Amino acid sequence: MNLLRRFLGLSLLIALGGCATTGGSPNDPLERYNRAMFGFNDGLDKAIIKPVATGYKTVMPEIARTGVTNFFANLGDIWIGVNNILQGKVSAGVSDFGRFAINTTAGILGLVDVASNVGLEKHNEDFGQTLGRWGVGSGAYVVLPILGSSNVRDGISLLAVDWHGDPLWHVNNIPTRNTLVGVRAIDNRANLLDASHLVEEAALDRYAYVRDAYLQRRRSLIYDGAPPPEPDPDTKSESGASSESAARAGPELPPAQLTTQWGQRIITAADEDLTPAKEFSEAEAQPPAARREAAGAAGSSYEPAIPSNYDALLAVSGEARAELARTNLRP
Amino acid sequence: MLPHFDFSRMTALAMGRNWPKANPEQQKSLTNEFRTLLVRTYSTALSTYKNQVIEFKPLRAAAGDTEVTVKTQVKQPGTEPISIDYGMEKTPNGWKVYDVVVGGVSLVTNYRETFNAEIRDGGIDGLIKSLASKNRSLETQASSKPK
Repeated sequence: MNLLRRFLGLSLLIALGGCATTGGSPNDPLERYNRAMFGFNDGLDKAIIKPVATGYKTVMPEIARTGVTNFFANLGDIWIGVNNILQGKVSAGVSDFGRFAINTTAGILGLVDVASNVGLEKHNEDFGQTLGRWGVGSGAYVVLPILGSSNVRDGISLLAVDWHGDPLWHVNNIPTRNTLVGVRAIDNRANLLDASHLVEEAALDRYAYVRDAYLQRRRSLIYDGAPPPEPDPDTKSESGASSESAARAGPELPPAQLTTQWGQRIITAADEDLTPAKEFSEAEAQPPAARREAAGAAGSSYEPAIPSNYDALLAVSGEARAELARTNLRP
Repeated sequence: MLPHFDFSRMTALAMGRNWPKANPEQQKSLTNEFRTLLVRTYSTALSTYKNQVIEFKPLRAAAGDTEVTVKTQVKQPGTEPISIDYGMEKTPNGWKVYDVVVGGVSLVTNYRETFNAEIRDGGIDGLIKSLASKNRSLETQASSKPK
């Protein structure tokens, strides 16, 4: 019976693995649409936005461009403050309102970022991050027309909520409003010219590079630079790898559960903060054996001097699953 | 700066579970190509950073640690400071960087998905070929740029 279950689990893994080869990355279910939209955005960028931004960067002296960037950034500080408060980070929110006050007065309508020099750091918050902080999962990765990388949660937040907090959209004079929005967009693009050049050079597959960087960055932003290791797959999670193992946990329960426990155990062993650790105390006897077996199964051609969190990295990226399926552990 | 980076470890981490599947010759080719790619692209990126203030955060490490993360922050106008963390490991040859995390985006993890996809399509040799042709095209770009 166990043999049959294991065989079914293994064949399901292989089948899903086979699907993965044709379907692409497991954390990108809308890949076909996304790649098409990415191509469209890229074409638009090359044809119109990038040349205008390059011209803008060439014509405007750096100090003027910094002033423009600061002006628009200042206007954004109010909404950032509101979102910080919504996330329960009251002191950060108050600091953001303080930034707006100081920069608008002492910083001459925001042209000079005086507040940063005083020690009030600029934050980066939006409603999508607020939702993420509250535990709303990100949903699938989505490339929005013109706006670029996003996901289901953040795209809806951006289009439905964030613009309410954006002072530019409340300007009554339509031509003025459009000019301001356009200038801000071009200024942003100009600031990103170096980064986009880097992506062109560094990436083997630009779409995948941008997507993976975006997913990591978004997670880091939500946790303000200190993302926890991949969250427990039994709760709503934002990472593709964990939600994938949760999705697979139904049909092939034994290996997936083992993986979760093993993965979490290793992360705790690597001395990272993990609150659900106490749930897995009964699994302690198995994981060390699993780790030894998996390490043995992983092949001996690789030199043994690996970083102590290598297993954690593998577990976090969900790649230990296939190795474990080959061990003789009972669930 | 280069001797402080452990490129073979970075390549191994980026390959993930595919690393043991490569034979030593492939591993050597992969490390060389990946190293060339990283050096070329990121030295270009670093050269665009001028006069930014870099702040080193306090180091959290015990005396006997063989692995630390060095956290820095680069202040820039108009946006929040960018955090650059260096994952470093103590080797017999001294402390080496094995991962650079910029604004929460880990270099190694970012390449992992790409490498996985390339290996799915063309195997490890396919990946080596892609990296090599990418490096060649970057080289011709660099040599054709007017100095």
